[in-house]
Amino acid sequence: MIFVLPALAFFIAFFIYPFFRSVWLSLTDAYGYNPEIHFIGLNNYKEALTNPNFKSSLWITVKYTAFVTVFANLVAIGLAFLLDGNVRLKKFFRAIFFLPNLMSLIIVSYVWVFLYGGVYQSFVSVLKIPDALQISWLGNETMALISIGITAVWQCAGYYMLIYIAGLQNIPHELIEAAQIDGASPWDIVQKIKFPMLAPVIFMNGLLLVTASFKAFDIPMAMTSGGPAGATTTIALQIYNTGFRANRTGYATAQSIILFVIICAITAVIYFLQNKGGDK
Amino acid sequence: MMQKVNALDWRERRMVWHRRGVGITIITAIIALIFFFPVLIAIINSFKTKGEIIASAITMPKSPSLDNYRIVIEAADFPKAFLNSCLVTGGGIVLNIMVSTLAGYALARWKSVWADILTLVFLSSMFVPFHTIMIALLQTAKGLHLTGKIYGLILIYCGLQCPIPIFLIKGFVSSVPKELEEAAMIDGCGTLRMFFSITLPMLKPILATVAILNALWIWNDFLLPYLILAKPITIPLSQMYFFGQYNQQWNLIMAGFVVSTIPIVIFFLLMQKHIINGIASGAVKG
Repeated sequence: MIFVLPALAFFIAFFIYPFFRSVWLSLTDAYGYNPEIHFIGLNNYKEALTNPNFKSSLWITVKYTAFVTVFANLVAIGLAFLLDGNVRLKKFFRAIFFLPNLMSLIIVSYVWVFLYGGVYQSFVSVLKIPDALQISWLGNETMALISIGITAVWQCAGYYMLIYIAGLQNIPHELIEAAQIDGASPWDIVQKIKFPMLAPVIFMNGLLLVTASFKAFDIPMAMTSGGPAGATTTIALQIYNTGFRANRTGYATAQSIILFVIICAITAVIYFLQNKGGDK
Repeated sequence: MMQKVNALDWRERRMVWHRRGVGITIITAIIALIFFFPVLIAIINSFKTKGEIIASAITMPKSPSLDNYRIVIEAADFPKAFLNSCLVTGGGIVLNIMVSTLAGYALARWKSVWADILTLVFLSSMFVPFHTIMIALLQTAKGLHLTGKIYGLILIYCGLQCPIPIFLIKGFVSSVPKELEEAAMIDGCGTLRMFFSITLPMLKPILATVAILNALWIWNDFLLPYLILAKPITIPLSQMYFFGQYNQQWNLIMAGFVVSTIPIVIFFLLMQKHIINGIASGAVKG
């Protein structure tokens, strides 16, 4: 069974070895490419868990993840219901909503920086919005996180929409027809049949969105570089800055292992919830 | 009398409208327009001059010109970035599919504890975020002298991207009856020949899906090429450098957006069925 070997070789070289090396580096004081490395036990982890910057990046990532997961799911379900209905030009609309997902996050981010800046200013001057009601999309600490969240939702909703459409089409037609004959209103059908039947899909999309958003890097990096005042520095960006800007390799890998543990924990919890829900 | 006929007529027309889904189509169209607004704005502004954009970013261009596109294609070295992106994506996919097919096939047919353990090892990697291995991976790549080289990036993608294809291919091969292969064996067919002339053709549909979805991912990936290549640029990298260099020149940046998005839109239109079915089916199976 020599067939496995090529894949295994690549996998060991570029995944397994780096992974265990990360674990080892996280226990050392490695700095940049300095060859002198000393074992320092769990000190990096202690530092990470007491460091306000890292803790704030954790909190920021949690808020960002919650925002993106909730709204991307809502938008995706909404669009899926719309396209599952009696709409003309279904394929065309489906392509339009999916299109942002094909674009590179970096480039999407630049377009949105422009929207939040120049385009918004043009609207302000055309509509004569008074100063007090103007929004500083990327300048304000709270708004900046919401703004990058909106960009993320816009970019990824189409992908989850496709999954929801598939889920809706998997619902047996007989079920809906039977309900219609029994005099169920369209709203009843949505509420009592479609939503319960979609529950596993909602769980799965939730899991995909949470784990993906927790790793958010491209959008905050391109749109705000983590600013203003670190308000959009996600964990991934924090790891990048610690590792490649500050060169604190050991400390950065410790942060990255914490991210790994968090993602494992979230996945486990969501699986557990889903199985528990399935038992009922 | 006349009025009554009109009322009936109107009601009937409304029924027809409803059946044809005119109302919901109009609502969808409006939502689609809002959704598409960022792209429209980008396209409109890519034909304007810098001065026009400063005056207003939401007016149509007075005299649309392709100057921005000319500058972008030259300054961002777009043809080269495009070629590099094609090389990385194409090379990554071909190599990845080759090794994944072999491994997926072997793991499906090899009945042993080791096969299960290996499958589990490949699968467990899906829980590891890229950022966890990123720093050590970069060191490894430096150690192997793979940084700054296109082929280096291809090799790394091959290693990082193989678990999901292996898993999918293994699942597919397991569902193919073994009798077919055994019959070929009895007829004197060797393992290799059997693999290429019997198993591989059956795998074609799933291989196409895997390849296309992976291609989209690699094409748009930013961080790994940024770390490994830095200099030979791919399209996302070229856009990043371009953005840094022409900061605030939105006319050029928007033209860059359009230019770098066109190839992927063409690819989508050609492969639409595979992409949509791939996302839908892979996901529903979980």
